[in-house]
Amino acid sequence: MKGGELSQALMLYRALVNEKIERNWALPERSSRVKGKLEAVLVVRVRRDGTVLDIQFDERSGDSYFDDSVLKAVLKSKPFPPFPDIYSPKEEEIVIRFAPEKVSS
Amino acid sequence: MNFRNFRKLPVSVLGFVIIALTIFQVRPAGSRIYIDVNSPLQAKIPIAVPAFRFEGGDVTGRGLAKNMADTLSNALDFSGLFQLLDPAVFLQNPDEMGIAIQEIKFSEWRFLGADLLVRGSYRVQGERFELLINLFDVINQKLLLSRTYYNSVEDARDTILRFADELMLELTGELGIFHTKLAFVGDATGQKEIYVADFDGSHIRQLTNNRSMTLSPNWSNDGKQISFVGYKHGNPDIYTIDLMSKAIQRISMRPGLNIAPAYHPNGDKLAATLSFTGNPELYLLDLRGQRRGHQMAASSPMSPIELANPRFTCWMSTRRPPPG
Repeated sequence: MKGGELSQALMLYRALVNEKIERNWALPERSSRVKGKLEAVLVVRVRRDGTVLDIQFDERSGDSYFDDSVLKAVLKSKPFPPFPDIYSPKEEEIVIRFAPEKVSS
Repeated sequence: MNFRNFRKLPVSVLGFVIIALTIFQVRPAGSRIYIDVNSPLQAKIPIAVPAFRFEGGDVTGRGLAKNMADTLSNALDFSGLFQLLDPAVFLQNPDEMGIAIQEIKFSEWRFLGADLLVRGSYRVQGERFELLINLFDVINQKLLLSRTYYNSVEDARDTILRFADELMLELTGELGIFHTKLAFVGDATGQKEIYVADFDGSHIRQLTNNRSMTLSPNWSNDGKQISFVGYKHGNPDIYTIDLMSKAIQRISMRPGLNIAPAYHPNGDKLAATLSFTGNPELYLLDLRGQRRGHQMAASSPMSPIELANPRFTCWMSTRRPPPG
């Protein structure tokens, strides 16, 4: 039962973080270098109160404009939402994969 | 690094690597939280362009402060890349906002949602003004671009557009289009004449005053000349106009059609359709209208377009492709 509650709480947490970052991610469709499929992965170390301790690229897209935009999206999303009470770690690594499917206008 | 090289490493380095591995233990992967982010919701980069700061000199120049910021805002908006923040939400009077990086209140700009900030200050002395413009990355609290200009007040708009071009280069890797111009045919006078406008369609200038039909403007690659077709003498003839001196030359007035001029990328010749032989054919002419080489193609070629690669010319034709 506890496991189910935890995974539900984590699912909600992931949705909250996703929503905050998406809202802060500025990626103009027309920025000249952003073409084709790009993907970047950031590892963000977060304290349980939501404080961002460290941000690292785990995988760069190879496009500096794209990489800059995802880094800024995370910086603008500081602080992250605090961990759910039921989730015990003092801090956690959150792995965020940026892979735009479409740019909303 | 292969094993043999590895063995050659000094012991001190190996020792350091072992210590480092001990301190920075690789964390177990299972405890991480994974999140996919697929939809950037901001399609444009939020940018703030407060009115520039008037630093003194002739008081008559005070009006430039908003003028220049508006010119820059309009140009950036036109690029489609930026969302301009409404100046009504700015927390400080632009005249009190700093210009240098240590004076910028980055946290306030971040609170307002700006990713980028442009700050300019200027002083006016008689006909001339000195302008400093800085572009800041609000998120990383960095100065991205800093330019000073010393120009005549008359050229304020041009100066701002030059900065806008450089801003685009800094942010996208490609120079902006704010110094490009459009040539077009307009009939505001009742006759078709050639006009030139700025990139956004503003600042329209009438180039020709032939009081007859004037058509097909075409830019030379360096932007210094336009060729066109004019019916001033009853027949479609090819003209060129020098944008600086406004000098107009009639370069091809052969019997029949002299139409569809298109500059060669080198700028020293143009392709055109001429029909003095009875059939319209494609020819290369020098800038005085003399033929260079033979006709280029047969079977009613029209509307040549010179490509960036000087080895090729495109045209329309009724020629059928060879069978098979």
